[in-house]
Amino acid sequence: MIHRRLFTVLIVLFAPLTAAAEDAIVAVAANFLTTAEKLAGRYEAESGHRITIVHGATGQIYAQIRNGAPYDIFLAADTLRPAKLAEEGRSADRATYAIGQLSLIGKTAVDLAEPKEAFIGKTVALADPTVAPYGLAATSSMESLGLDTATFRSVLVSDVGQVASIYATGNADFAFVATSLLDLLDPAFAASMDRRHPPIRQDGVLLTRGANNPAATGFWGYLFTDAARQVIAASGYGVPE
Amino acid sequence: MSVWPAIWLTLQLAVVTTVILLAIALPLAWWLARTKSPIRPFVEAITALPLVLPPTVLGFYLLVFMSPEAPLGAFVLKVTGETLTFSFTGLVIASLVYSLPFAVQPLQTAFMGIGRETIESARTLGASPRDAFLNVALPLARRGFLTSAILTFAHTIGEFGVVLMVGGNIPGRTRVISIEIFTAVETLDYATAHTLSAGLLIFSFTVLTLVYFGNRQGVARVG
Repeated sequence: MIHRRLFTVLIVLFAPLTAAAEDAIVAVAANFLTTAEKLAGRYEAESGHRITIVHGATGQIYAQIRNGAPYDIFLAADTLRPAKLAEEGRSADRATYAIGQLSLIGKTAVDLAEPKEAFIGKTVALADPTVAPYGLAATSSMESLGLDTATFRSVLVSDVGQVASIYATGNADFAFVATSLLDLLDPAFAASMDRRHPPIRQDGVLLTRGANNPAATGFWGYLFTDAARQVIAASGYGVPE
Repeated sequence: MSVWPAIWLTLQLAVVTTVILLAIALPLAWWLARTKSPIRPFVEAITALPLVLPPTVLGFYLLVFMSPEAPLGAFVLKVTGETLTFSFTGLVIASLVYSLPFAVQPLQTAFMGIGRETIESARTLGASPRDAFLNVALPLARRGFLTSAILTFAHTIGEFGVVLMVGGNIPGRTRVISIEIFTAVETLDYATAHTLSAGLLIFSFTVLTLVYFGNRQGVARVG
């Protein structure tokens, strides 16, 4: 933590020396896309640098980085992949930037105390637990709700962005999505799955590729400022202490 | 979100791929049309593979070959400082493989349609093999050449799975039209998805109509 603060201070100190506009590519987990776009827009206006946002499932982006994808920063939906990248020597800095929250949404209301009936014969969309941390949280939530997965049809897709699109196109009755996507979806029913799954700590990595790129280090520092934390909190996330 | 970077990138990719692929396909199709070599069926099968293989298989192997941890990818990274994967160059290589049959097959059919006798007559009249190819075979096969070019161009424009696996989804660098549509659908931006999808639909329909129109004229002229 102290390391990160120091880093941020250094960036702020040296910012005037790096006035030339630079580009950085930031890969973000699908759940954080709209929030990252907001943050990037504000950062671009402040700094004059350009941020390109790329999105996908956390596991997919991790594999892409292993295969040479030119990303400077990776905002993951878990702590596992960032830790792996650090082990592999690809991380210049690493910290938790948000705590993800999952919601159950649906076309009809569900009594969370007795949800089994409402799900019978329905189609439920969730992210694939093997590549998407929100999928893992969704399976934990289903267990916590005491749902019997044999009584309804589960549709697994690669990330929460696709879950949202399946629900929005009318192809699912219920869906487990990131709370940050609720504004976009405006569902008839929504319930927070808070405490029904282990907290989704979302770690970011300043990749070694971006360590000497002022646009990347600048955005990395900006992510942990109070202004950025307010944007993150207002978008449906917890923020780390 | 602006759709122009994706459209521009897609056009660049399709033009570069078409030019390079025709240069490869011309000698290959000529050889395939005329050779009596026993390895011809194997070469033909390899050429046709991208037609039947899922894009994921092509994408997977290309990802493995071009990865900075593989010899080819490492070499390119050393020389240019850029990785092959997730770059425009990588997309071009992937498109060359993916669109190969669309370039070779119409040309091969056209060359085969010319017939051995025509070329042999030219040779008897004193034309060198090079002359016979450039001044007799090529002009006669021009319709096949045009079909190859148009189909290669159109097929590259419609590429999706291979690009996603090899190039990812980087705006301005690897985000082609089909991936822009995918992104638009995922982010519930249906206006963009509709615009681009309708655009591709009209484009593809026009291209195919032109190809079939051309074919039909060809038949009329021969008759």
